[in-house]
Amino acid sequence: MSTTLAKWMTLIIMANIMFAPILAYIDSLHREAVEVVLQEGAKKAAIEGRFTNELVDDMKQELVDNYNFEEDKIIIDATQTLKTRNEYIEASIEVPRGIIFIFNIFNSGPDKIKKNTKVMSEYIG
Amino acid sequence: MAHSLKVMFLMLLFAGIMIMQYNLDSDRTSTRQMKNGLELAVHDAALALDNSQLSQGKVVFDQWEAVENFKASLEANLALESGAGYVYFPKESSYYQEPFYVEHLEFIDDDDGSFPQVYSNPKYDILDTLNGPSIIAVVSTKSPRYFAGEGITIRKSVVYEYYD
Repeated sequence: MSTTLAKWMTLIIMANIMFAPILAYIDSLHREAVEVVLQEGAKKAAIEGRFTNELVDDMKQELVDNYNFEEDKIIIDATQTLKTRNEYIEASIEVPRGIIFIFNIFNSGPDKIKKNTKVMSEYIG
Repeated sequence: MAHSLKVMFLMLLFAGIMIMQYNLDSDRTSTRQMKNGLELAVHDAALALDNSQLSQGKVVFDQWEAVENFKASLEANLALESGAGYVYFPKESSYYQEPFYVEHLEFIDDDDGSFPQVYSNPKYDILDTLNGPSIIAVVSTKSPRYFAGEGITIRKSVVYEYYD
């Protein structure tokens, strides 16, 4: 009985450890996706003077289409009032984080990825 | 005995590969974040123009304000605190652990010459054709390490130019 239990426990822990690198890699790619979308969005927003509704929708769509995030769970909080030149535009994207361990027996940190950015507007009224 | 030795060897090998993967990943993340942060910083810096010169059709940077914008942007986007001169220290919330150095910050505008011009900086291995007033920035830091080993020094350079 105890041998069987020990074997199963070892198996579960081993499986957890074995899959950790690949899952951590996927987690890192998710972060990259969020950062890149936010960065490109910020560059476009700087020209427009704000995050327009289309821009926010485009960012969301890109995360959904290219990186398989769930649309309802993406929270984009961005400056939508028009800012003129030299004023700051801010934005943040929050998405649920994937798993790090296939069996949830270790602490794997926060369950959300949140990224912020801040850029100056170049819009001249 | 032989069996446990085999298991131990495999575990060590696995741990080694995992450490390597995490370290390489942190290099990749820091490189990307630095490039992105630096791009936004020079963008903000390039918005600081001397208005009196602008009315005469010349694009000349207001360098004092440009440096302030550059600083503010790096601080906000990479969670840094500026120290003395061109050194920045990571805040607690920052991904980084080692200080940031702004190694080079150069403004080339209508005051200094005509465009297009070829810009070359052999020290940082930059060679670029500038089509308009430009800002060149080089930043370096050490990549953070979760596991054993010294982080590599990452150096990123960005050239931001006005183009008409």
